[in-house]
Amino acid sequence: MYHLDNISQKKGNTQILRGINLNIDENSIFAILGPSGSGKTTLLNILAGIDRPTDGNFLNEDGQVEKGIMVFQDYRLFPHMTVFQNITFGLKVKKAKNSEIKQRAENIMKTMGISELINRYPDELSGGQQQRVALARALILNPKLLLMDEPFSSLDEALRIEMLDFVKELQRKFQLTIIFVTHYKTEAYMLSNKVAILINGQIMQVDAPKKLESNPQNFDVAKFLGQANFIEGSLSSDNFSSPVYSGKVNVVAEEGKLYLPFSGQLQLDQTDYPAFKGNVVEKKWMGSNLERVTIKINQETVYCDLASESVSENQVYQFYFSKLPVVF
Amino acid sequence: MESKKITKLVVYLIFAVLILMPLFVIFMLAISKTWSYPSLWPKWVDWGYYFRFLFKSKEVQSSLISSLELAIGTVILTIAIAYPTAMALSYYDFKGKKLLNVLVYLPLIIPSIALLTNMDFIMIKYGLNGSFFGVVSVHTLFCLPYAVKLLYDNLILWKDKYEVASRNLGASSLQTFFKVTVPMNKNGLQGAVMMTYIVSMTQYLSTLLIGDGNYLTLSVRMFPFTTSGKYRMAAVYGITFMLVTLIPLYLIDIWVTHKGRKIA
Repeated sequence: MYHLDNISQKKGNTQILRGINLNIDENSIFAILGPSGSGKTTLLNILAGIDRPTDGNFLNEDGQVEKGIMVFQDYRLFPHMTVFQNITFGLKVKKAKNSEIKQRAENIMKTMGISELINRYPDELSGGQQQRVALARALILNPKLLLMDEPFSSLDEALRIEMLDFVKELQRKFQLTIIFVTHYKTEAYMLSNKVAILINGQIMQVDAPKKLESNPQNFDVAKFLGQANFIEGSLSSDNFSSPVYSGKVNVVAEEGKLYLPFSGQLQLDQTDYPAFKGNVVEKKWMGSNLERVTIKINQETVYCDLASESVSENQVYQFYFSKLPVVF
Repeated sequence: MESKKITKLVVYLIFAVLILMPLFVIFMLAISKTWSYPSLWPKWVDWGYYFRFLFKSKEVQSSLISSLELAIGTVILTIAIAYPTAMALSYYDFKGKKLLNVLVYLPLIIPSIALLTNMDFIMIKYGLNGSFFGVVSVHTLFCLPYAVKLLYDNLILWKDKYEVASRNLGASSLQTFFKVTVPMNKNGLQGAVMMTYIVSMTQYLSTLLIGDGNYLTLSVRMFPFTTSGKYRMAAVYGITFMLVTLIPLYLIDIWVTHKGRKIA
């Protein structure tokens, strides 16, 4: 287990990180998800030993200060070195034997599928190849902890999914602990079973992807995760009143905003929580048997994801909540 | 199209008149035995004169050695000061950064005679006048602005991001400097070394004043020949001066262009 113990970072007058406390299981992939400027890279730099926190520690199970090997967002392959020189850089500076360097380089290049790129320079490689070289450069050092900064942000969609699977495979093969930061929630959900939400330098929530989507702990998290309707209304005790829905709610914060995620909250099957009657004005195919449905209720517009062909356009339906709705 | 051609021609003409013609005159002076007014061309050309003079004259040889010693010393001291300064200015934000920036360029802003008079006073005070270190340190003062600027312009391109990656992979600061910073900054270093070498070679007043006449470099010896009308001698010094400047520049250029990959 890795422990982030009350890590804070202040630069000039700006407080970038505020008392980050996290426990991260070894031999797992842990995602830190947050918007741009939330302090993700700063946190990763601290875990990599690149930056020192103004307060707090990053310790391993034995209570030792741990330093992870970083795969940078822009890869940072040394442009004056070949792929082989880049990959073996870490071993060379540690003065490993030439025979060992050669052997380990051959093995890692074979694993990464980049053996044929050995004499190329970084500017002769594609984005995907550069990422594989950057991963090889880190993994050749047999790190326990691998840190990845927005690892897939510069890859196209198809390559991104391929690399996500590849990284999962590497984690299993090398029994690594991977901590990666991203602002793409799909990436975080696909790669990790545990995601921490970092907003304004604070960890807002640590949960499994499904739980994050269904139970965001506060308005900031819900707003960042997006893909939800926020209905303005008034709140009196646990009763919410708005043109869309009026009735009992689960009050999490008293900002008076009804939280209706696009998926998982609204349904047509009857439950104990009737929502509203609405006119379906538009449907958009979302892939894999799903449609994004636009519903008009008293001049208000609400979006939700339903199974394909479950509703028809210009028809009025009674919708239900799957559980008591939340108001932030 | 026609006007472009004319502009090009004018530029070449100006270049030829200002640079190539004086060079040609110096060259002809160095190999001519007799060339006096009103002859347009030398009456007698002796191609071996230059080399005989160069290899026989102890004065030229000692000047050459003095110039090279001072230039090499200045290059070492300048780069040793300029590199960390340029790195600090391009990588970090710190209090007094603007002041440091101004201080570096100060030797170019202050009139050199005022600076030299005061430097001479300081050197005498600390017993450094006439010494190798004294002359080199004053040469360094005039070379630093160029060296810092050339290194800074190259270092700012990547800032310290590759150094950060290197240290994260386990390299020490020294390993990072020699394996990452210097090879990636080869062009800046080339410019800084070349400029420092040339500026040091051409220092006349500072060498004479701070060196107390102990360092009779090529430029120090050349100047009186020119002012006293001994153009042929001055031309031999001039050609030697150009060769010892151009040959190292060419060698450094080969090192930068052919050793490893050119990256910026």
